[in-house]
Amino acid sequence: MAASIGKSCTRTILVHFAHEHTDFRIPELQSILGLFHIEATVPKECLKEAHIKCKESFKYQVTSFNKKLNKERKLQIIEDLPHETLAFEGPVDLKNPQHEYHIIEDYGSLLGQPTEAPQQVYFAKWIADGQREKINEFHLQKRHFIANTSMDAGLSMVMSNLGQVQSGTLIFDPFVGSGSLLVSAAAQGAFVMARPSRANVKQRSDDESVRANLRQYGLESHYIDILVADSSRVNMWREQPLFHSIITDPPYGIREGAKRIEKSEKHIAQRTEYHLSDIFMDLLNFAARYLTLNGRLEGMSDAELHVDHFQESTFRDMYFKESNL
Amino acid sequence: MKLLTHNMLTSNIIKGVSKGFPLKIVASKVEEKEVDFVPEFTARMIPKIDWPALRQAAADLGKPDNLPENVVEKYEENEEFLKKTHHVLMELEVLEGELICPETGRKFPVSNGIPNMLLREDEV
Ligand SMILES: C[S@@+](CC[C@H](N)C(=O)[O-])C[C@H]1O[C@@H](n2cnc3c(N)ncnc32)[C@H](O)[C@@H]1O
Repeated sequence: MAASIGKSCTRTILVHFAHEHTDFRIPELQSILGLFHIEATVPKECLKEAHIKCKESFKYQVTSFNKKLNKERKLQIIEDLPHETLAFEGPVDLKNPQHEYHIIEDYGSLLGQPTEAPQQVYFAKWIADGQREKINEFHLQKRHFIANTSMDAGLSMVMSNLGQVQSGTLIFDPFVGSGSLLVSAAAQGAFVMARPSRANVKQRSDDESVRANLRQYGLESHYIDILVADSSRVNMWREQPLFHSIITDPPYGIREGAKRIEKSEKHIAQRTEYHLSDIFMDLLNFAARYLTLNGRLEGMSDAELHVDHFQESTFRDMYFKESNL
Repeated sequence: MKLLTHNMLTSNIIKGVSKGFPLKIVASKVEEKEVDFVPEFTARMIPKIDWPALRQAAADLGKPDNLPENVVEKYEENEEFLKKTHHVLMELEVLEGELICPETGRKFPVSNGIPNMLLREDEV
């Protein structure tokens, strides 16, 4: 539920995460820290001393993880605080406090029963909220054009962060589909290019496009182009460092079969199976040619994501049923 | 297709083609569309641009590019130059037309603004 990052011994920050995509947490945090050139260690130890004297108005706030606490209990926790030791000099203001101090009680892993007593109690000053509301803002349910493998908004943002997508850079998705990854990259201020498969382009009308999806969020200016091409042809561009990040969700196994064009006996364009190992090889070759120095290649494979994709496709089934698509 | 994309694209994917650049543009429908100007992005793209090819592409579209013969010095600080470059790179779009390989004459169609670089199996 929480990780504390500390810079030397001068500042310690408690980060309270949503309990989701737990494997990506530390790598994502480290990517973001790297993006802003912040050197920080991410220790396993929790913070010990975190109280600040202050004359401005404040309030206490109790939150808990893996257990609901009722009002009375929360009040009790606040009353039980060592008020003499804390000795805040400012007035309490419940509506508009200048500072919020959080008491966070951790009742163990989400998968298990809540423990009787909290396993950890944190006391920390609130600095900022995360941007989880962006997941709603960019939710697929409200997305103009979605395909049956559209990546959900939360994971798309995680991927942008892992790929260290920055404002004013050029990003490429070689397996674009409906462009969810590019929507989140453009929302970070990046400019986006992509390669769909032919099927994707032909079936869709004008307003059912990656471009229309960006337009929906006022991000059309961040759209550069999409090109129909075969992703196994890696030498389509002038060879130079071009893309700052390549973020992609390649077609694989259960989700979507990949196709590429190869020679055949019969002299007709032949779409053959495109194996995962070849996809990764082509991606690596592509990245080696066109990524800028320190650029990132970020790919999703479903081994790590079994549960999420299951949930996502269940959601999609419901969505298609309800909207009679 | 924006001219930024065109400036990066080659026909090297065709068997036997070695440079494949620049692709000649024959456009039947071109559009000018305003795009937000982000100077840091334009400045970042300039070192990657093949400048003569960019000017030639604008000429192929029948658009006066107003660009100087060469990239100016200290272009990062030259807003006027960056704006002109932004216009040519980002605001001119080929909606319908063809891209022609300089070595083989192979034509790649652009339709609905999307270039199609797929090859037939005898070309790969
Ligand atoms: C897992 S989906 C990506 C979904 C995308 N992230 C989204 O949010 O819509 C993989 C995509 O790769 C495309 N594809 C399959 N083979 C391809 C190829 N050889 N070249 C380019 N795209 C291909 C598929 O049509 C599909 O849209």
